[in-house]
Amino acid sequence: MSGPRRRRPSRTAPHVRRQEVYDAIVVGSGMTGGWAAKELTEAGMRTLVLEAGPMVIPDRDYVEHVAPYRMPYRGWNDRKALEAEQPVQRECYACDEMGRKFFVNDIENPYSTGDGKPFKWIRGRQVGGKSIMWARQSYRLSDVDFEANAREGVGVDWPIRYADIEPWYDYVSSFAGISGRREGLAQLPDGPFLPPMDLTCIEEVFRQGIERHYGDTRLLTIGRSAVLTRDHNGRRACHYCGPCHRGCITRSYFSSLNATLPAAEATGLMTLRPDSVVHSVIWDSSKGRVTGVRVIDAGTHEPLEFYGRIVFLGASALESARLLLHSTSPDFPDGLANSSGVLGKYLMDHTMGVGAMATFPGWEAYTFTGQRPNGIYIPRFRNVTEPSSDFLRGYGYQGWSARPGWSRGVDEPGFGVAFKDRLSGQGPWSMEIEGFGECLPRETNFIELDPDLTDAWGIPALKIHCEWSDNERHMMEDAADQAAEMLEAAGGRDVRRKMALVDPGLTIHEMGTARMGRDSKTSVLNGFNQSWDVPNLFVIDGAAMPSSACQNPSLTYMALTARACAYAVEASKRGEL
Amino acid sequence: MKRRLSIDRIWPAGRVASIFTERVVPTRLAKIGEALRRRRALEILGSAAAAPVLLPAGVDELMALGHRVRRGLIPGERRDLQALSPEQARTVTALAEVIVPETDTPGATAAGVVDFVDVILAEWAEDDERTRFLAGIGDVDERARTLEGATFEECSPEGQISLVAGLDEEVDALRREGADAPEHFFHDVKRYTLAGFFTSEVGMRSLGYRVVPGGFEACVLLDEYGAGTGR
Repeated sequence: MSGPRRRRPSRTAPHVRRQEVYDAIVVGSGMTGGWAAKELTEAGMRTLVLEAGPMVIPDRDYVEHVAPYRMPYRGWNDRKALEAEQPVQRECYACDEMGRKFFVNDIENPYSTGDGKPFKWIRGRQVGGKSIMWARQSYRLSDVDFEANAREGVGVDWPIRYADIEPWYDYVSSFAGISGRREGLAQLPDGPFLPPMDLTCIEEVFRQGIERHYGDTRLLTIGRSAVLTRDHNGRRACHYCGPCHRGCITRSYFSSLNATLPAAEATGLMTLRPDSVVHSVIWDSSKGRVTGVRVIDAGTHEPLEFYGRIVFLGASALESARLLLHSTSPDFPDGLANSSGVLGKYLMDHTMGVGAMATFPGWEAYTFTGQRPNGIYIPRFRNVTEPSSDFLRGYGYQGWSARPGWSRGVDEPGFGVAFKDRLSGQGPWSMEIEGFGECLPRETNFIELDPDLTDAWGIPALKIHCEWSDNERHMMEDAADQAAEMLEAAGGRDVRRKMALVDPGLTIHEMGTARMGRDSKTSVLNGFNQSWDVPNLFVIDGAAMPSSACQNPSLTYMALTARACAYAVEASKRGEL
Repeated sequence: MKRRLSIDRIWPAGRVASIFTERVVPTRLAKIGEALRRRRALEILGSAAAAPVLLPAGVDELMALGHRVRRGLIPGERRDLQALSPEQARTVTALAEVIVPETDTPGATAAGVVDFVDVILAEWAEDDERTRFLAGIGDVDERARTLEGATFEECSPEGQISLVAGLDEEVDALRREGADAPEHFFHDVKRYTLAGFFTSEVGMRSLGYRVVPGGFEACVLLDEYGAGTGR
């Protein structure tokens, strides 16, 4: 090249400078942001992905293979640091000694709650978002779920049915790789599964016990997990090391960082900007469109603006709603895209912490080797194959078997040679199952901006008002009873009910705060995750859910996102956005 | 195990974008010799015998895994004691060895349990837990002097066992009264000792632990695999 070097346009120039206009801006790089990045770039759109947290480079930052003896506290966690910096996040099991770096600092990211309504807001702010630490359980909703609101007059009707989303479930499952067993259940549709992981001896005993006792109204199946049981799409099969929530150097489980973001990067059309805290969405009243977003650089606190023709919010159900509530204008004094007034309302999570456990004698000579990153699943039977008069909807169980190790010695008398030998062996087989219950959408569970609280970047924090209702509590009573009954029926001994219903939020399935629907007066989004009020604005995360079903929701978010992106690409080509 | 390490094989070709690997793969791996890499990877995996059989894709992944794990995450150097005095440390060491003695596998002393206990007391325990623990250690030496006119460490093996049996019974009495976590310093001594031993490198290896089990066998005869299940 000759002549003076041309000055390259800066991606991070402040708003006073001329900016390029991206075809699309995606806010968030986690489960849904990653899918949007992939789908949009593969469709030829130049896409800017904004992530509030720092870059994560797998080869540098994943920590799943750190043995306990290489940790300063041997897995007992940095207790003082957790107390000081992550008093909320530490309640999630994955926020452990090595994994805590993938969870937010609660001091920098405060929120408040309504009186007497504790809510545990668990967050991951980094490239990859919570898809790094998610539990990988992947289930489909069915028409049992999509029709429930309309049938029972609860909330608003889903604007879609299973037939609308089925091809998108297939599409995202094929790319992500979901292992599982086909069971042919109407309430839990099958997919193009990779080979299922195996049940342990006791899980098989339990499965057969349920089959014997309940015929075809209940069944136990292996969890459907976004973990590869064979090499798939250029990613390696699982090597069963165990702590997936700390990363996976062989990319054997699905996350945006392991799968969708690399695919987006490969197109050459993605610009990924970490450390970009989105402040608000820019509304242009004259155009009736959004034109971009305002950003605060996480490190320098410099205010920036980025422009795009379409804006996708995938920052998480609560963050996306917070962002819209904070994006006010004369046209939208109560929050952008909120002409309906339902933005921030109808917050849901799943109930968790209730079930039963038992020991299973007779299989002491058998064990398992390796750490299966998956448990068992008992699909919903309440109000599907067996009615309940006590509550609407139902629950599914997740569970696992175990043979306790040395730690049982802490609570037993003994010391010396015999004690050491005994603890070096394995304790009795145990089996535990826990109900994950559907939460009904209620207007009284909502978020608002706290007028007195801001985060480390000066953005108003949320005040969250959320509590379980009698429907959820009655459902969980039943979940404990039925869990105990099933364990007993399958030959379990020493059966104990577990009644430790967690605070809302801790299941980390928060959703519903910008729901989709059929009517712009009662919903924020249409059936394509598109704002009724702002045609070029999409909300693709859990905020869109008009009901929670009882299944782990990530697979549904993925499918909805891919579907929304395909719609947006077509609508954009037609000039409708 | 004879295949040469190829950097390309660590990441499936063409799937991993530059932003996710820059500054990492070319500079680091290229500088380390094959033999060194192999040794480190095997070290991570616990033993040479454990490594190759079950892994899904062989040595290349091992290298990647070992390479990354070893990247200076946790310092292995010994540190000076911070919470325990030298005398207290000797008592803790002796107590721990009685609880988890050396047999055909190493015991608490060889596993460095006292260093773990010191870290826990200095950086992890609440003030009242530390105070109770240290007072209890002093009490053990008092009992030892009453019994044999010596510190616990200097007592005869029989004397040490007799003293520990008494302490263990005191904790169990509290348990029988319904205490889930008995507020007795010896409960903590035992808890810290078991954790300190069974999460140490020698302790975990004695259980057959492997960082990368490589496979999942759902229902196998315990005798054929030993106690260790990789958990």
